Amino acid sequence: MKITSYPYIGLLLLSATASAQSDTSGTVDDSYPLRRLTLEPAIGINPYPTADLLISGLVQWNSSKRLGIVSYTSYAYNNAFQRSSGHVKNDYNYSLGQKFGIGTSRYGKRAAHSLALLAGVKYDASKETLEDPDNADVTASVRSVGPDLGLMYNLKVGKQKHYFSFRTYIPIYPYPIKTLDAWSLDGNLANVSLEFGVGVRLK
Amino acid sequence: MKPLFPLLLVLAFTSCKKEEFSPNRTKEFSIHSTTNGATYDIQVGLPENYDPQSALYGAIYVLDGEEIFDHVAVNCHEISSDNATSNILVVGIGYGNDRALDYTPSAAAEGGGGAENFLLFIKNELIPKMESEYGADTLRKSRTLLGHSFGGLCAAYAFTNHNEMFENYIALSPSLWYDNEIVLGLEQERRDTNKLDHQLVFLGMGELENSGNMLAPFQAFYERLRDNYPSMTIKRHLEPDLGHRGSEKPNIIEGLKFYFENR
Repeated sequence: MKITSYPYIGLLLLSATASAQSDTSGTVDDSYPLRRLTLEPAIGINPYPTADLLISGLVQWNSSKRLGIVSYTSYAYNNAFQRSSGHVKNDYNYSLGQKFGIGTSRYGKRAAHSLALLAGVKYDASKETLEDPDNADVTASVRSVGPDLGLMYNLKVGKQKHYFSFRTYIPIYPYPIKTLDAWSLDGNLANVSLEFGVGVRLK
Repeated sequence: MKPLFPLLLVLAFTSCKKEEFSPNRTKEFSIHSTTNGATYDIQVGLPENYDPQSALYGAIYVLDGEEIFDHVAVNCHEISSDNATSNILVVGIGYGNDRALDYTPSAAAEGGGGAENFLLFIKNELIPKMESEYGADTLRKSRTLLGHSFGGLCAAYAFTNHNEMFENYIALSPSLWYDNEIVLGLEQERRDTNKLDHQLVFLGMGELENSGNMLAPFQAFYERLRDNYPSMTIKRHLEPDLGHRGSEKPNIIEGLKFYFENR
């Protein structure tokens, strides 16, 4: 049960940075369209420690080609592939999140790269029942509302009204906002997401 | 803004430097177990004004000692000072075997089932050495066992099957799901033997440990102890916003506060 995969978060950050740099000159490419308002539904996973399935929606308003504000809503079906264990039955286990943020974009010839700082709340709910054949069932549940802060990298591929969107979210909570204890990184890792979807230009 | 970013990074990483208990009050030795054949590195944190010739000391035995000895020793010092009460010996037990062997009560897919021999090593070899050489009190009520995860499972197993060893238990995020919740069955089997003993039990876990098998066995264990042990003082605590590993250190502090306030 001890965690040995802290470098994982570093690899994710590295890959996001590398892919951002591969198609970016560092200047605004005038041929890339300015989309004022976009909607980007996506599906994805929180891969750590066991995969959660994720459905999310991102709305982005760009006041200019460089600057935008973001609203991000997500629903995670936690432990999607391991719902029961031994005599423990999972009744429900999900997370809801709503975050808002501000971000900046850079443009290549065929892709746009956005990086946003998001802040909001996350609601976690889980309920388990221990079905003991020799004793009465015991049920336990947790409902928790807590802050959620992080960085979201969003790669948008395509110049048309419809385009592809790949995004990853790197939480900065609980480490280092709530605590500087590096062991709390397991909370950050549990909220890392990898998502893929399509985007639609609304305006 | 650009020069600030590396500065913030440096500040963030330097501020999480490792806690260290006073080297002047830390003793270390290795002990080879004749029970299970392993050799354990032991760290002993001594109380302030330590004088084994004139005083006997309570002792807390810390599983995963290589990782958390300093945190436990530093906080024992601070909490006992805050409560104006005498401090205790902190005995960090290193890894003589894989923790998945030493801390698990039965052989299963996730562990080797060496907890029985490991606890006999503590009972027959480590505790006598602490009592004869470090001034540890010989009374059961002076001994505490602290463990996290598989270590918490081991503490729960010590409670059920070796209740004569420790009066106080700090079991954090115990892996009670292990081997079809075997420790819950052991608790029921041994209840009549153990239920009249006086004991302090702190059970803690992270509020966001939603791996799908931690919470219900934890709650079942808590309810069984609360409802069936009339001489027990027990506390259950869920550390907010933190998961399995992140809740360990905050829960150690909560458990130590509970111990020092109720012993």
